[in-house]
Amino acid sequence: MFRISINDKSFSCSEDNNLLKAARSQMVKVPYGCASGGCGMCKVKVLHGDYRMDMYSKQALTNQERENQQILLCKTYPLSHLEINLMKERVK
Amino acid sequence: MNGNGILRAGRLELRVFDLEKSVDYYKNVIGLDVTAQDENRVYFKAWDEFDHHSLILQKSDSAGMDHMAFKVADHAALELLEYKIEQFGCKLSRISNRTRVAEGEAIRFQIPTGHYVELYTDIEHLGIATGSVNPDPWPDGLRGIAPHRLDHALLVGDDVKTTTRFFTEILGFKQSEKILSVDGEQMIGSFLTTTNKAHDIAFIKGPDAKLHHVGFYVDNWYEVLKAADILSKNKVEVEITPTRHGITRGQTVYFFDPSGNRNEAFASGYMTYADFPTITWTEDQIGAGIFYHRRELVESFNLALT
Ligand code: FES
Ligand SMILES: [Fe+2]
Repeated sequence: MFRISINDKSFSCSEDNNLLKAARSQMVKVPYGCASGGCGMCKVKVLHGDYRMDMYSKQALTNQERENQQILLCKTYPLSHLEINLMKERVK
Repeated sequence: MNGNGILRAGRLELRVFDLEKSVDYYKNVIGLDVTAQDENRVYFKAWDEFDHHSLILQKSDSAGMDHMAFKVADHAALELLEYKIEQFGCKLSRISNRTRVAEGEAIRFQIPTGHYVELYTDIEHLGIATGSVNPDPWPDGLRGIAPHRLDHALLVGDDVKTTTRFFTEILGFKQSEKILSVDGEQMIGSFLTTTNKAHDIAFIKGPDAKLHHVGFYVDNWYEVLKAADILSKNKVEVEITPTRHGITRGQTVYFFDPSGNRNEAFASGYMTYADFPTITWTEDQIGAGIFYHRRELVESFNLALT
């Protein structure tokens, strides 16, 4: 189980669960829409930690954003504790 | 058809980034039949549709809509429409015969909101399992939601007004309903039909060339509830649980496919006729127009687009 801190809140997530599902099951409010990697509403920035991502839309998260440590909560699985920042401008 | 030669919404091609999961979803959860596949595409039809396909999934690195196509009565009507569309100033090209499985030639053009629309008349006819002579009301062996047909799409773009003018004046659609800013100056939403259905295609103001949702037709309110049961059973992300639209009076449930394209199971909705007035909604009442019971929009409904 990894500790995921997101702004001033935190929740736990195992490496086989995605961050969005884990946050929702622990009543931590995070932005999301499709929960399927298509809309980009759940885009956040990782400040510290390792993770892996499943398939997602390159329009929802561009390669440049990805290089910039941005992720989609609904398609990301933790590989360590994570520190995450919600971004103001969430949707392109 | 409103005397414009355009029979109905015929097909829609969606981009998906996870083709395998998407095929499984459209086949088993939505309950469409796979009718063909080629290198990059899989073709589907609903059980109650006669033509070869109404939905195409295109393997892509993103989600969204490649195009929506309307079926035209014959080649003469198609030629006339092609001329009018070019006169209007749309960029137009021809899709040659058999570019996609079972399809004849089509014309493809970009509308002011940036979406691609096609018109065609030739497509292979497959028929339906109950046949066309003394048919039973429905066939055995239906899977999932099993809608009757592809019903409509809601698209997002900036210039709803010019797009509406294009659909009404050039293509001969009728506007069944519109959403106006409170001062009446801006058109925020537009619902358009080429049949007697409340809408075949609709537009809402927002970023260009985006898909809001694809609607599939089910019979009635209970079928909408049952669709929601099937979705939850399959752990599909349901955005809006069953409710009623003020606009179209339809009954609805909204959910997302495995690539994040929004789908709708839509029932009922009124019939409209050429002499009916266009219904107006004012922007301050848009909540009730979209979700008649909740009377307010939810954030994802505006922002989750593909
Ligand atoms: S919620 Fe749509 S991409 Fe994550
Ligand atoms: Fe709809």
